[in-house]
Amino acid sequence: MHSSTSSSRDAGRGGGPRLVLYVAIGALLFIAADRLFAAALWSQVLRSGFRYSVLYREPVNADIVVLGNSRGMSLVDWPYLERQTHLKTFNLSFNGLPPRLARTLFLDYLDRNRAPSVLLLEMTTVFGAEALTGEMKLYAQASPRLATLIAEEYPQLGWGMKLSKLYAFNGEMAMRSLYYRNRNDHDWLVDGRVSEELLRYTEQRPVPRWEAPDARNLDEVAEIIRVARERGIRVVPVIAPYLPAFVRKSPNFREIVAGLDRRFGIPMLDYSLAISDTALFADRYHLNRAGSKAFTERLVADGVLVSNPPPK
Amino acid sequence: MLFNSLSFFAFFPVFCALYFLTRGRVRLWCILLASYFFYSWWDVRLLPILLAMTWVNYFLGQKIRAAVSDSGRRRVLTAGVCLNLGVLGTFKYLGFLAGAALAVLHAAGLSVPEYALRIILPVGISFYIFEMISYLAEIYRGHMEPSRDLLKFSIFVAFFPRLVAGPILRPQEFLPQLDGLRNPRAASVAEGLEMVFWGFFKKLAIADVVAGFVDPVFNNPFAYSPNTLRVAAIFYSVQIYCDFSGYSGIAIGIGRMLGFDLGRNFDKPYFSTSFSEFWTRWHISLSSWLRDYLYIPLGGNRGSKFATWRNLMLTMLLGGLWHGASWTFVAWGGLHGLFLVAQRLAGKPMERLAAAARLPGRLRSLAAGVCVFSLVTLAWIPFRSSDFASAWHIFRLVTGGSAWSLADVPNKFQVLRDFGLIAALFAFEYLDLRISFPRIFEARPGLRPMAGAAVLLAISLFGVFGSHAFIYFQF
Repeated sequence: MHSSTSSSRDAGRGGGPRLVLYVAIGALLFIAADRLFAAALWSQVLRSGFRYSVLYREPVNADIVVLGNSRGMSLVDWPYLERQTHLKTFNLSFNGLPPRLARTLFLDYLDRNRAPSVLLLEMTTVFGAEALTGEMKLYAQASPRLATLIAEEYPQLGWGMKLSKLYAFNGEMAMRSLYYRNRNDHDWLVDGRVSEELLRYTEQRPVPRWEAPDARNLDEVAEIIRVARERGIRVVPVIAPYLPAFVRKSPNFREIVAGLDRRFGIPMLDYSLAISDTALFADRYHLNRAGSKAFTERLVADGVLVSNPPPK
Repeated sequence: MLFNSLSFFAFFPVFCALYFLTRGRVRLWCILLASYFFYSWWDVRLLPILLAMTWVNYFLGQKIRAAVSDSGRRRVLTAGVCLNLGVLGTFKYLGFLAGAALAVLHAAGLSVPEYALRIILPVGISFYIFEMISYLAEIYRGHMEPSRDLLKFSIFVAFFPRLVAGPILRPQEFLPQLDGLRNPRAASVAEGLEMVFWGFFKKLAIADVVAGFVDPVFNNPFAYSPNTLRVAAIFYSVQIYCDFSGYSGIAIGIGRMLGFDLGRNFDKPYFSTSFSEFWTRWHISLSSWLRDYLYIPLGGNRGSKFATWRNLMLTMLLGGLWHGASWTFVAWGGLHGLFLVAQRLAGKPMERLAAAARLPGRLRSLAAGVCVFSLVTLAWIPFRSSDFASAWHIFRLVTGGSAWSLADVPNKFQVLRDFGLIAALFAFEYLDLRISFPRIFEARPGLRPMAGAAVLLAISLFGVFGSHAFIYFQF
């Protein structure tokens, strides 16, 4: 940005006060613009059809609530499920959603809506890390529970958000909420198809052992189940399909699932090998759009999600 | 201590207060002690190596000057260069060389017990060793007198803004700046502050942002599609540029705020239209060091065509090896050597072809720029990859014939935002090339606060604040 100068030292001091003035003006400009842009952006975020903007803006009163990480997002084809069952659905899942954040969002949902009849819980959420919690700073101003969680998990974020209001909009959540400003995100599923390279790679290379889930994560999920049951919500704990070779070659996947059964005292609906057609996967962990639809059909056919009669 | 850490934000104001409150030798002591404190923050065990190398080179410089004959001076210089390279080799390359030797012995069918040498790599050693070699070489060439002031020489070696990752200072340019140290001009402080802001923008709002996409892909390239690998390769090209030029900008800016001119380390390298131009714009302090102390002493381009090609290849291979003890770095240097040789071979025929086709100058420049950027990006693949198997896999898929598309690329939001940021950066750099922002700020200083506030807003909105280390700290 700058070319080097022959000498930058000088005994002259005339520019000192002007420099201080410029720094002060710059700081004031920053503070004013920061507050102004943040207020403008927040009004746009609240108008969005993005799931969390909807959650914190208005009651949804869904019959089925889906909760999970990215596998929870691709678990069901949301519009298709609603058409098939005539049950209003709301998917609270998000990529990398950690259990503690999942519990916070679920409690916020219950505070703002009547209890759903079914909670479809994608159980691999127990492997989540806390990375996403900081991203939710966008909605902290709408939820004291979320603000407390963020303050506990990331004390420095609170400091940053005091310094700059715009900082709350730094991240994927703000981009998504602006992207969905004029429409909902119900059809947000994974496009594409698992590559031949990845299929070969999965077949040829050993699959590493699964780490046992963190005890705190298990406690958080247990708490979600407890609260749901207390409100009379039927909890459906599901393990969504994986690319079959990935599960078949895993040295301890069954052991992990059995551990979850024991820990929560309810049998997992283990659909990890339910879909054998690799064309229905986007990668090793996620169904693609066609896969989500096929799996939704399977859940309906199995009677996991009870259908309502079509409206007259 | 990282520039983008809270500890630095506590350290720097305290240092500035002491710096501006002191004068003369007290100020020099203040710089030196702060530099040693800054360096020790990583690992205090590294400080004795820095101190020992400083003292040894200080006395070697005087020995070169005191030697009565040219052969005597040459002997001291040779001893000094060998000592410096020996120390660098011991810390940086011994494990690598031992591993290579073991591999050769194993390949020859000899049974040798397996062991691994684990030697801690002192931060910044590649940079300060090169500075001390240039110090000895410049005294030997008679371009400067040896320093008679250990305090000033120690500051030359340890000056904290550029100690861990450059720019590599030239002693004849830096040491005189320590004489009669006075307060910087306000304009110099303002310029320095702007460079620091811009450096933080590049580091926090571009390099660390795209790293979120690049790192998982390069850490497990076999799990991703060709298009994802293409995006990751392009992003890494930008990441390493913004990371290193961001660091350099902060270092040079801090120097400027304190009244020092630390030169220039980057000059919009991705706008280069040839590889030789690229190397006058990328890591300028290293490329000029390699030119002055390796390429030209090897004969430069004064000999036959073949000798020039050999010198180019050797210089670039050693430049690659300077980055670290890994064959992937050597491959990166080798690729750049090949590009430079190929440019010498094909440059003139290509120019004639373009002239015959009557291609407009701008179109020619654009095509050349895209070609240079693409090949430089491909060369970064081995540089970033953990091993040759990964590098070859990425290279094969990136250059393969599969259709270009973003459909199968994960995290499209992140990818689109990152492309947007990169486009904004390049647009800004292009504008700077055309209209020179520093000149505009000089003519209209009232724009400075607005520009500063805009950069801060961009950092707030896009920056990643995780105290990610700068890539070049590992070298």
